[in-house]
Amino acid sequence: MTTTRIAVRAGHPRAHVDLAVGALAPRLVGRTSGTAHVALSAAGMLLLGGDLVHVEVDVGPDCTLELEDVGGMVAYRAPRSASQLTLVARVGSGGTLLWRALPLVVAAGARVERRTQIDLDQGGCAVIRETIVLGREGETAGSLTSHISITDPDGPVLNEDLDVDGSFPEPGILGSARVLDAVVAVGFRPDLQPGAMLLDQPGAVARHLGDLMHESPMDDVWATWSEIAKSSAVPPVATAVPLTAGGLSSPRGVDSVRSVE
Amino acid sequence: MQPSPQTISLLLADARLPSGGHAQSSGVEPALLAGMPVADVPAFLRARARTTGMVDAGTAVLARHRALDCIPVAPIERAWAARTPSRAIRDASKDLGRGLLRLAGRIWPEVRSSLDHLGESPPRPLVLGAIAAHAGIDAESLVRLTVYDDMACAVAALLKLEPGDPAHGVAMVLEACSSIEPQVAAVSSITAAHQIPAASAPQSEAWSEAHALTTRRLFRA
Repeated sequence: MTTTRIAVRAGHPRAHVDLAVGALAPRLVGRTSGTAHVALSAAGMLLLGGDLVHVEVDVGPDCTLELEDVGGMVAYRAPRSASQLTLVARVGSGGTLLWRALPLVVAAGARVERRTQIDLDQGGCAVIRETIVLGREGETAGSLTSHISITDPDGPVLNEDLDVDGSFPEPGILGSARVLDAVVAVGFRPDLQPGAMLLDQPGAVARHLGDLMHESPMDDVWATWSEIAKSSAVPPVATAVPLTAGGLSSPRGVDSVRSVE
Repeated sequence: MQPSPQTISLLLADARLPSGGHAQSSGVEPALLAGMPVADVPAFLRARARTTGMVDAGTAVLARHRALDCIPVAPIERAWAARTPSRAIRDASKDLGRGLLRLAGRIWPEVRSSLDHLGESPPRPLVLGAIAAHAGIDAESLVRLTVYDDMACAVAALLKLEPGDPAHGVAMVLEACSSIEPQVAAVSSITAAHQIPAASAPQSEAWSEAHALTTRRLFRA
């Protein structure tokens, strides 16, 4: 499966945005000279056994990229082969990445390996939302291994490997919770929200563990922390956002590469 | 005559060691206060051994490796802290590290030189690793010691919080310790920071954060 790629570089009058369609299709929603807003949706049926979904994100120096999922993702039953979801992001110096992912639902019999890697350059920051739902309503989930690795130029900021299997809930890991909803902020010290943990390096992790998605207070945490990250970013030069050429147009198909100046 | 490394391992694993372990519950009090049933303690300990236990054991092994090679141990603290997102758990580990280092400073003064730039309260696994290097404790024994000490602390605290049959507690410690045996060889051969396990326990971390804010507790963590 080809790589989905989203790259943003500052430019005048508008930022340069490169989008490549892979298993996911990025669409440009709006941009200014130093910011871009991109929506990600599935380019085909996802997530089946053996699927390899690879997303690469490159945020240029002093740029802000807002990335949001259009739909969540369900990993379907796949007793024979695991599916892999890899998200690799580089955030250039003074850059900001805001990645609002929608829930990943691990259905019965699914096996998912997810890897999220974010490398921050000097002064770069990121806020990401990661939500796992173990099983659809009334279903015993399959298994998930989720690795998160975040670094800055001086070393690791956050390393987490979460191993869960819906058939064997463990007290202390997720217990009987079906939903793990998390917001991770790195590269700056956000206001501490209730239930949030301050990392040793600049950053914090807020999590909600529960049974129902709508009980999670993480929408508010996301809104607050992403606003702080945006307000500390380099102010964009205001330009009209074109909604036609390169605006909300659909990708021409899987594997096509679209470049927007 | 020098004491044998085995004697020092026994000493470090002894609950009577004056290093502050009696004030810790290895996450058990936070779990019980949050409503975890006592019946879940054995499963909780197994989960803790494979997560926090392996992070600490891997960190201790790397600290030992670097202390033996006379390479500063301080840079490993960052790798450990990145794998320990809860400040409450980092603080508890530093409390234990301070107690151990104070003791080590008297018995093995050279341990301090391995822990340069880490202040008075390095995390527990860094101090354990430096002691192991200076006292001749091998890496596999260090992994088992790191996990055993944490589990023994947990069960000693459990018996104060929910008095029960002490023999049942001993069985829990042995069961949790034996559950990590398949990983001992790999963890004891770690020589670089990226090899340190990063297994996460989100629920236990949340419980520890909430526990740090309550005044109704017997243990520090």
